[in-house]
Amino acid sequence: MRLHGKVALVTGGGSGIGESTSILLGREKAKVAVADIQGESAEVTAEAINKAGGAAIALQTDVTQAADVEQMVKTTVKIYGRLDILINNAGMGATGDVVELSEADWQRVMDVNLKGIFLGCKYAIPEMIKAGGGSIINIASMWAFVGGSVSCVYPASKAGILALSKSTALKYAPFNIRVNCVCPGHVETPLATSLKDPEFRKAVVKKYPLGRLGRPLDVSYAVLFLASEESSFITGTEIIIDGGYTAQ
Amino acid sequence: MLDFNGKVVFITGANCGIGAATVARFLERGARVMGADITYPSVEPGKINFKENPIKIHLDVKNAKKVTGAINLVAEKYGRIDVAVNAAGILRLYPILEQKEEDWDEVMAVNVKGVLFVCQAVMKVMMRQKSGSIVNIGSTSGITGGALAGADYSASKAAVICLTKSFAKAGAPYGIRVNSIAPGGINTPMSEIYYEKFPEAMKRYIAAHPMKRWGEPGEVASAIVFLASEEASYMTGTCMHVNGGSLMI
Repeated sequence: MRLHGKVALVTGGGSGIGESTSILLGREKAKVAVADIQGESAEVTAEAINKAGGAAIALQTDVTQAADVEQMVKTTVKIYGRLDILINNAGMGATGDVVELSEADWQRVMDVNLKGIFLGCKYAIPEMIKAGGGSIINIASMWAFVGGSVSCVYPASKAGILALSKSTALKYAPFNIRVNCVCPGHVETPLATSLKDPEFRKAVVKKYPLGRLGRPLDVSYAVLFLASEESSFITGTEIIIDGGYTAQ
Repeated sequence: MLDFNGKVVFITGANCGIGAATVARFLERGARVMGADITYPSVEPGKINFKENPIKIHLDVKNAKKVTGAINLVAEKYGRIDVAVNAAGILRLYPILEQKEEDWDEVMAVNVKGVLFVCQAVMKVMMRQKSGSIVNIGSTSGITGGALAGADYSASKAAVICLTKSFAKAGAPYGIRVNSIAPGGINTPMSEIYYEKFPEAMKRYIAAHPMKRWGEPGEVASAIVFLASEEASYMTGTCMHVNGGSLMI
């Protein structure tokens, strides 16, 4: 069991990458706090972990609200006694280039994708210091490196995550806290509604040298590696999980 | 998913540092390991005991014919090669303006041509079986240029990271994944030269390091095992940084 005795908190744990990651961490014997803005979906994930013999709780959390995030961390520590691993996974997209996108949509995506991670780190790090160290994994994106024609704000928010992660990694390395990002390409999740169109999907698959789209578990395994002691000398970096897309 | 039971793994530079730690890690996970190293005694191919694990093969990676021969022998005896790790490499330190052509050629021959020859031979085997994973060892200096490392060494490691991407493109249609790892400072016999030659600079370097230490070979080996495993089945053409944060500063 690669995470025996560890306590993990996963935001956006009710669906997609967050759901599969929560379940995988639970299987490796971490105690998992599953947070999601949709409380019911968090409960479904937590129940799946508990039914499989793991330990999990569900927390209804809006990562854009400081009070919510503070409470999420407090409750996790109150129930499980410590916090070792934080997976900042909650995220959203919005289509539109700089001319088309509304200011409100820009703000909303930035708040969820970037400010949410700032808040998660802000409240989790003091608890990790108390625990003697920790590992933070932020879900960024391949789009932090390549331009996206579909959305302007999503790549910008994800590139922001990389810089935020590095600053945090540098500052808290002396406290034995590691901070890394994972950068997936297209992943088949409920968030990726555009992939439901078969023609669009076919065109997208063609762009990936490995000939398929990413699956939530592809990302979860990299998160598990970064959460575990196997990656003890890895901090301030990104793992790219994109089927070879950016190596072309 | 990190289980390598029954898998055949070929590792160069197997007798030292990162290569040796990687051999140990794959053995723990049930793999059948073929270690190649220039320091292993030379044995006639007919006299190799293929029941041993790991098998130790004498190999100079600069020699394309010998590399192809060793890999074909492994493939013939076991029917397949699931994983190849290119960990063989040499390091010498000279001030850049005093870099000699023959030293440059030697470093490039081992660090770059060696990786090219192994990838070429292994990929032919992997293409037949339509699966496989190759992990090449680059270096942080392949991104930053050489300060502590030599100009030839860092340029050779940049070439390894790039060569990895070229092989990733060639292998993808066959389900073969090729990735590199760029380790930062790792405490290996190869890097002892830094402590011997520049003791004061090393003290300052470690003090400024985000983690205040260099890494251990096992910490690179665990990243190699991850990349080689099914858990990384959607990763190809990437470079994973194992440097304790040194690339941030």
